[in-house]
Amino acid sequence: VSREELKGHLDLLLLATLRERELHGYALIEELKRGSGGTFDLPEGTIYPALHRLERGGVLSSRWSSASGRRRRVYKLTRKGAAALDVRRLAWRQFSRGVDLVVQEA
Amino acid sequence: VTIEGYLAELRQCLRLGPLAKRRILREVDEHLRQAARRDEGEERAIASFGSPAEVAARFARPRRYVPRAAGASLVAVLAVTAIVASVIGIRSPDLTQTQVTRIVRAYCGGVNAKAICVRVNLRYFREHPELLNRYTR
Repeated sequence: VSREELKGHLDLLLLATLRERELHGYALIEELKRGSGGTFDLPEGTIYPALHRLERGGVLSSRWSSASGRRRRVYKLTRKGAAALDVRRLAWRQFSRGVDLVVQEA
Repeated sequence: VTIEGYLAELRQCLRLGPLAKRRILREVDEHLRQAARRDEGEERAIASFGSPAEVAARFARPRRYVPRAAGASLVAVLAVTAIVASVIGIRSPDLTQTQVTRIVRAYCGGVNAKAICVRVNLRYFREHPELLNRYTR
């Protein structure tokens, strides 16, 4: 999947990956890769700016966490983020259904 | 390129405040070290992350014209208030307490109306950032 194709969907992917548990950046990238069956092998340098942007928007919150002597910034969904995820998920379903219909017709 | 070298270059490229910069560098440092351990090599980890200039550009925040304008407006209002208060004090030492209070109230009413206008403008431009870009281009 190219970077261009991912544009506009990255926020939804990040929010959806964080919906159940908090993760640090590296684990989030791994989880995205694993959860998508290897389809979303994202350029790693794009993830952190997106996480920071989403945090500034209030849909994510973060804190430093220590694990085996290493400090990592872990991110989790806020209440506003959970609501945003619901809205984006609905919009995505409508969009993908529409694309499916057009593509099948063609 | 080592991780230290990459971080030094990224530090140069980031156009952010010191706190944000420090946090980003720590996160990237942690990420690269973990990736280097997993993927067996710093070079590969660095290559996967992207060039410092590209990464820094993604972290760049849009310029905040509106809050700056609001801040400038507040400073201007405070300055004008101080000037008005001085002029009243110097020019009309014989005004009664009631008269001074009325003048100040009327003036504050004007300032409040101005503040409401600023808030409405801020909300409008937040909802329509494309218009703000057009005006500030």
